[in-house]
Amino acid sequence: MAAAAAAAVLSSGRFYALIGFEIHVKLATTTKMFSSSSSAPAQATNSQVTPHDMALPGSMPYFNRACLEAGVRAALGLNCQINKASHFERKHYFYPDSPSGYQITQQRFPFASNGVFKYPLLVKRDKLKSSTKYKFVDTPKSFVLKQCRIERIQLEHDTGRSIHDEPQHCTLIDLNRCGTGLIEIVTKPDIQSSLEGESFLRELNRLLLKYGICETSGLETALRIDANVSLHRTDTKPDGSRVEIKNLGSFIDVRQAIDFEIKRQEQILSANSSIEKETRTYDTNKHQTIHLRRKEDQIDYRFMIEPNLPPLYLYDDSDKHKYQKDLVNIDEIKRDLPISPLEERKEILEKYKDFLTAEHLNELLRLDMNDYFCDVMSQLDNNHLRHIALEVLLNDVKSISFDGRKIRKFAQAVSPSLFADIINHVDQRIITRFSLYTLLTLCNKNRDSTRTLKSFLDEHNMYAINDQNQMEQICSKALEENPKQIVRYQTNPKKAIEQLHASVCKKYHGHPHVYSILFFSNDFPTISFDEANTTPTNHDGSGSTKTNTN
Amino acid sequence: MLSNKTSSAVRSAINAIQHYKVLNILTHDCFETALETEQKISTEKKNDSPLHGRPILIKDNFCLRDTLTTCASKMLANFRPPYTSTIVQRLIDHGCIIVGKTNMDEFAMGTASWGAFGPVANPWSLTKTMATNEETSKTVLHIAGGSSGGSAAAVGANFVSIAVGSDTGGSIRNPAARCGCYGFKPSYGLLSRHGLVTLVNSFDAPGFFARNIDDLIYATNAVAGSDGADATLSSKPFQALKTSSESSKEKKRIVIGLPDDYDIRALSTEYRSCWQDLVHQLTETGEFLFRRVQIPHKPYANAAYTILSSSEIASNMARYDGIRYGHHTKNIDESKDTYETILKKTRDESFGERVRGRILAGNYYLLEENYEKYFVQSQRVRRAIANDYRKLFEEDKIDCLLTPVVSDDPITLAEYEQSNEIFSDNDGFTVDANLAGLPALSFPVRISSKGFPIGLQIIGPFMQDQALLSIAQRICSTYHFPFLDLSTQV
Repeated sequence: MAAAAAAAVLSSGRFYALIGFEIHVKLATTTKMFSSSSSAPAQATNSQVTPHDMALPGSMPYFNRACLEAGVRAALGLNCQINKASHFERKHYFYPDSPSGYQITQQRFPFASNGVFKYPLLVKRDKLKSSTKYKFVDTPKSFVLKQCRIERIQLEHDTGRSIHDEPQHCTLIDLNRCGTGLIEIVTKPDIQSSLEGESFLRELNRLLLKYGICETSGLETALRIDANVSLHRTDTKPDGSRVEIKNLGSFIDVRQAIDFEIKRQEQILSANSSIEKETRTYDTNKHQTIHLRRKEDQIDYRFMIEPNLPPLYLYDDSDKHKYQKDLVNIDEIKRDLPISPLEERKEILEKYKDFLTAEHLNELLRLDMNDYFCDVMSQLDNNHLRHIALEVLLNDVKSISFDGRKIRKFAQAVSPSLFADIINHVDQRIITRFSLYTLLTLCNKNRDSTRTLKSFLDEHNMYAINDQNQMEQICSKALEENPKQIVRYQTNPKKAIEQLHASVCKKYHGHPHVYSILFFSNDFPTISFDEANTTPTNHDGSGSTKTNTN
Repeated sequence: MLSNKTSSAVRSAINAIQHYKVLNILTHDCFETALETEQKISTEKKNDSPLHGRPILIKDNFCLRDTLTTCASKMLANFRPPYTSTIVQRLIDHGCIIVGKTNMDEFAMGTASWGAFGPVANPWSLTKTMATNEETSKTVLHIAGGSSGGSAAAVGANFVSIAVGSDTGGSIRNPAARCGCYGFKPSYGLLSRHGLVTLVNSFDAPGFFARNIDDLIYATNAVAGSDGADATLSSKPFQALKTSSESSKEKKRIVIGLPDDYDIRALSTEYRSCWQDLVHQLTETGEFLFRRVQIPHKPYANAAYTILSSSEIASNMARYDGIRYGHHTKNIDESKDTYETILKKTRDESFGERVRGRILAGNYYLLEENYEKYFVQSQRVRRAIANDYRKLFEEDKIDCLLTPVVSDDPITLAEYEQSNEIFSDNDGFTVDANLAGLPALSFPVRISSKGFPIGLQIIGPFMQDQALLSIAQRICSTYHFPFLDLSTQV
């Protein structure tokens, strides 16, 4: 609802939105940023705390270079200018889970700045075609690439966790997370809609995972996002006023919060009021943003250079000056970087160009399936099988994974090798196109990832009927049982065949192949997975079967 | 039980400290563990460290595992750190026996060593009178200087031969001059600050009090060297300092600078003449050459020091919220007190006025609209001053500077109580070495007409601690200072 309303606001031509993000990324390092303490998640409360983590008097920070290396990888991935000298600063505020009374960050002198990041717009295929806004799809082989400038990336550490015990009337503090390394990526306000925002964040997330900067995309822990949203009348210039929405924990929250905020601000502007600078939070239950504090109440963080840490120096191959051994060489990191998601997609398109189009890949991205897709592709022997797999992914799996929202769970339950095995069986006609959906659903529900395909097929007797005699018998029987359809065939053959299909499918639970059922109409259609939208949508297999039936 | 019979170094130190309780040297004693430790290490094979078996005292802002570390503040009155500071651990490893933690100004802010547990008295006061009761003692006892007054008084009175202190703006050199002993502030980054409760991170320097320069060298050699826990430590490998007998006997002529900017109006006639007399005395030996020098940015030094130190103090003090350790207010109204009000009560109840004053000032300087005007500007002044000194040493080929440390005899405790100074004039003599990170030594020269020691200070080039101490050896060998020794009268 909010999405449609926000889209309407933006497409009205009366307003435009400027959106920028501050993204906190939890770095995948084994120890914390300023202490030797482990940064493993989910450990016993306060079991990973050194004197520095609990801000004992006299304790001092010591910088973990693995955090800087991860940061440099991010800076390279976001095409930033890397500053060879940067400084740490203290950001002061009192909060029980911030033991030192300040956070060590890089407000004024970050290690990376002025980047630009290109990301594919995750727009639906049909929208892509019809949209006038995104006309600049130059060739079918390419994506709608948008870009967002990166203002800076800074290193900082995380705070502890406050646990509010309402019945006991107290707040408990766990310092395990306190001091774990983060990078904060600050973008320019180049994002103009929630769709662009989500597309940007997803591509960023792919990059961060690919480069080993953060772990998993279990968004709850790895990324925390603050979104700055401001709506402006088309005839006005941005005046710097904006609303900051704090601590968004998922891509969906980001999208919904932006959409809500656009609509809310439209109402304010339409009432001839102006947008006040304020900080809001997003209520995931009520799906709305809620006021936290006004600009006048903003805290003065009293930034000060961190006097316990020397400036952070980086060097590269061009530096003749010999630095200490333990300093980080930018060029060395660059050489070891894996391929970026953008480049990787170019490679994939080239590799599978026989059947894969940019539109396919765009759809895979939109459904968050591209990793799974690649894994499956590598398990299959030829492009014919791969093509079948692609279509199954974009139809059956798309539906089973709720438009990609549950793709991770699916990928876990149905390993790429199991999936490839299923595709092979489909190709060999051991599994019918009808029972495929049922089979995938069963596999998806299964928790034992080591189970073989055979055990599924055996348990549920999902083998296709491939014996022609048997099939003929079935068909004959169907004709016997449905004399009405024979009469109907004379007036409406199409409808009659469909009905016969349905009855056979219902009776044999998808065991016969589609073409076998059609056999009795003396027709041997080839199943084209490109065109055939043969996805049965329910268990009884009464899906649409739009194969050519004369 | 503590036995008085055995004659041991530790026992003598304990006896003296207990006998002169009026000096209020300790915030917390470690007598029993010290005696046990002495017993234990006397049976061990003696290592060859010159510090082996020596009773020492450490200032109460150095963390010692499971031992009270109070910083003479109500805030940390019950704080027992779970770790030991690097330099204290190294002293222990060299066989030093820690007899107690010494009294100081609260969180090392001040020049009277008068924290939450009362003032340290100057041992030289006792050469004139013996205080009887608390009321009269305030008028007959004098301040010991600060903030490391307890350590200085103990060494000045010869209760121990070595004590540890910390110097942020003169906190070693000032009480050393007041109590008549050597006080050495090494170059910033020579000794690890890990485990020293921070006052001002970029000024703090651990250092030592001793009754001869060789002891300063032994102590420094024992604790210097790389420490992964302190990122601000110099990366250059430490070269052990040489004692007077080890260093070459080559008598190169020493060029000493006399900065006009240190000849301030507040400097008493007697203290000025002590300075001038030493110059004449040394000139006559023919080994020293004196040159008058200028430090162009000196007029701004105190302001820069005040702003930078207050700012860092405000920041460093933010951790004292009473949640994980330290004082926590008992005056809580559960029905309406918020985190902020409880925090405020906790801090109001446990921080002294001077501490709160500096926090307030520091937070003001750090406000967004003030940062550039005050903090950044002070950093510029700081660099300019460091540069002034660098020029003197490098371009003008000055080996060291000779300056006063304090301007006059110490005032009485009663007089100090009347005054309400937060920064004293005397800071002016000592803050430059902290602003520029330079090594400096305060050494006793002679006795004033009222019977107090008069000290002077030499300041050397950055990381030239060896050269500075060698010069000090040569200067001090030209005269004899009558050290006080109260321990023999026990």
